[in-house]
Amino acid sequence: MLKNGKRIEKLKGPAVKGINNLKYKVFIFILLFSSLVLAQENQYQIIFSESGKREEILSEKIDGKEYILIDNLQKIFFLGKNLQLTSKKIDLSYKDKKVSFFINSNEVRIGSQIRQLSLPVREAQKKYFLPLEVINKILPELLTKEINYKKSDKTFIVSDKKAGLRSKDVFTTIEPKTTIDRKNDNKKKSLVLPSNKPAIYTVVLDPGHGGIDPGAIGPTGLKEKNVVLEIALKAKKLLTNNLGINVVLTRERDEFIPLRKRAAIANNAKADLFISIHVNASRRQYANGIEVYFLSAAMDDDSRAVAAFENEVVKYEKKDKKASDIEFTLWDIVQTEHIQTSRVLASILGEQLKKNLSMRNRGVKAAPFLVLEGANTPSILVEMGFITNKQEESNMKKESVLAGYAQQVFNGVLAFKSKYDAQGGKK
Amino acid sequence: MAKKSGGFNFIFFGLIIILMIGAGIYFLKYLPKRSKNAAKPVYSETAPKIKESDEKMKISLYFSSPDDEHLVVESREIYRTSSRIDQVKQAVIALIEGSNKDLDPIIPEGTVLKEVFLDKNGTAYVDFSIELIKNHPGGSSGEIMTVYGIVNTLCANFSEIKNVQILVEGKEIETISGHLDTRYPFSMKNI
Repeated sequence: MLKNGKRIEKLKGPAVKGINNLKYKVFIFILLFSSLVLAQENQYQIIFSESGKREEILSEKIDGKEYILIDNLQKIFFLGKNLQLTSKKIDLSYKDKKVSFFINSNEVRIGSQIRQLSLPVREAQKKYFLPLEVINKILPELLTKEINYKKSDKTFIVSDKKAGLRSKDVFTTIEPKTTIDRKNDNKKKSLVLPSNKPAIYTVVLDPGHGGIDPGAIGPTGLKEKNVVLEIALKAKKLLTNNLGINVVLTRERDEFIPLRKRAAIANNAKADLFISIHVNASRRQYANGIEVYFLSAAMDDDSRAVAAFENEVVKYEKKDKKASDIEFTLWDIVQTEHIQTSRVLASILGEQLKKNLSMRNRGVKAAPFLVLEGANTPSILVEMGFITNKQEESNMKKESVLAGYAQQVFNGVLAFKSKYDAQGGKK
Repeated sequence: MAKKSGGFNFIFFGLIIILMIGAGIYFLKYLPKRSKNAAKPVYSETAPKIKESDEKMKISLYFSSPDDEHLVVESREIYRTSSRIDQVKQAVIALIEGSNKDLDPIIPEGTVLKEVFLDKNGTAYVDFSIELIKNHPGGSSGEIMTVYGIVNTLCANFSEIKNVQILVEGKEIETISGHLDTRYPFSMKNI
C-alpha cells in the first residue's frame, strides 16, 4: 500500500505541471481501478491436510460482506443439497448428517441445535450464498472435521478431528520445541506447552511423483509413482497401528502434487519427520541398490555466504509480518536448522536398510533436493532400488517386497524415535 | 556498365554466387537449430567456430560410471579457439556426444546445446533443448549425474566459471526429473 501511495505521489508531481495532465490522470485512474479490481477478487484456499489436497474458492461481496456460492462449497466438500423454496430452507448434507440454512435468516439448524450466523444467508438471481464463516463455524460439525481459518493466508485447513485418545499416549513428555518456535517469534502464543504430546508425533511420508508425472518407468512398464504410493500406504499403516504415530501422506492417490507443495504440506501438518519415498532409475540396466539422501547446498560456501546474507535481510523484513506456514520459505532459514538431524535420520535409515535388506547399499548421500528444501523438520529422501533394473523391477511388483520396504521405513522411524527419546527428546 | 569492364564483372559475379551458396549452406545447416532460440540471442556468434586454429587443448569431461554412482573423468582434446565461450561450447558438445570409452552419457539422447553465456559473477548459463527433460530416464542418481557432470566439466576446465546454471529452452527450470532443485546455479562437487 505504501509503495503504491508513493508511486502515485511521484506521478502526481509532474502531472500537475506537465502538459500531459490528462494522460497522467488516466494512468492514475487505471492504476487505482486495477488495484480495486484485484482487491475484489477474493480467493481463499482450502487445504485438506490429511490428503494434501488443495482447493481454491472465490468469495463474492454482497453488501460489502464476503459470501460463498453454495454450489462451490458442495463441489469441494462433496455435500448433498436440498432446496425447499416454499419454506426458504436449504439443507446441506454429508454422509448421515444434515444442516439447514434459511434464506435471509441468520439461523442454522444442526440436528436439534440452533446456531446463529453473524450474517444472513442470501439469494441473488436464483443463486444462494452462505457467509464465509460457514466454512469454519458450521462445516466442522457437518463433516466431523477440524477446520481452522488462517486469516493472514486466506486459508482454511481441514484436518481430522483429534480423537480423545491423546491422554493414552505412551510417549514421553517433552519440553517445548524451541528450534521451531525461534523462527516464529510472533507466534509465541502457539508455543507447545509441556504436554503429553509425544516427541515424534507427526510423520509426513511423501510418495514421489504422481498424476501426470509417472516418475521413472521400468523395462516392463512399471511406474515409479505407483510403487512408491504403495510403499507409503503400507508404511503409514505400520506406523499408525504399531506406534500410534499420526501419519500424513502428501498424496494418497495417483495425483500430481508440485514439489514445493509437498514440503508445505509437511510444515502445515507440523511434521516431526519428513520422508520422501522414491525409486531410482538409470540408463544402464544393471545399476541397482538403495540409497538415502539428505539435503546439501547447490552452491559452495562462498556463493552461499552472499545468499545467506541476503536471507538475513529478508528475515528482518519479515519479522512484522505473519510468517505463513504454507508458504515456501528459503531453506537457508528453514532446513539448515535441521540438516544435522536430517543426516542422522538418513544414516539411521541407511543402517536399517543395510541390515535388513539383501540389496546393494549405495550409502547415505547429500544433494540439493527441491522437495527437502522447504521442510521445517528433519527431512530425507530414500531411493528404494532401481526400477530400471530387471530384477529390482520384478521385485517391486511383489506385495511382500513392497511390504518389506515399508517395514524398513517403519524401522527407520522407530530407531530414530528411540534415539531421540533416549536423548530426552532433543533432536 | 557490364560491357565496360567484363573481367571485373565476371569476378564480381562469381563472388556473389559463392557468397550466396555459402549463405545457403549456412542457413540450411544452422538456422533450424537456432530458430527456436531466436527470442534471446545473448551470445551473438553463431555455432562454435570449431576450427579457428589448429592448436588444441586438453580438457576433462565428467561422465557417469556405469552404475550411475560416480563421475569419472575422461580426457578430450578441443580446439583452442580465441573465444573462451567457444571452448565452453565445445566442452558441452563433447559431453552431449558422449564417452569414447565405456562411460555412461550424462546428457540424454537428442539434447541440443542452444546457448552458453557467462555473467560477470562467474556463473555460466548453459541452455539446452527440451530433450534434456523429455528424454531423461528419471531417478535421483541419473539427475545428479546430469547436473554435476555438466557443472564439474565446466568448473574444472574453465577457471572463470564458479557456478553453472542449467536452462532449458532459454528458461530457468525447477528440476530436470523431479528431484534436484535447478532453479539456482550449482558449484562443483565431488561425486
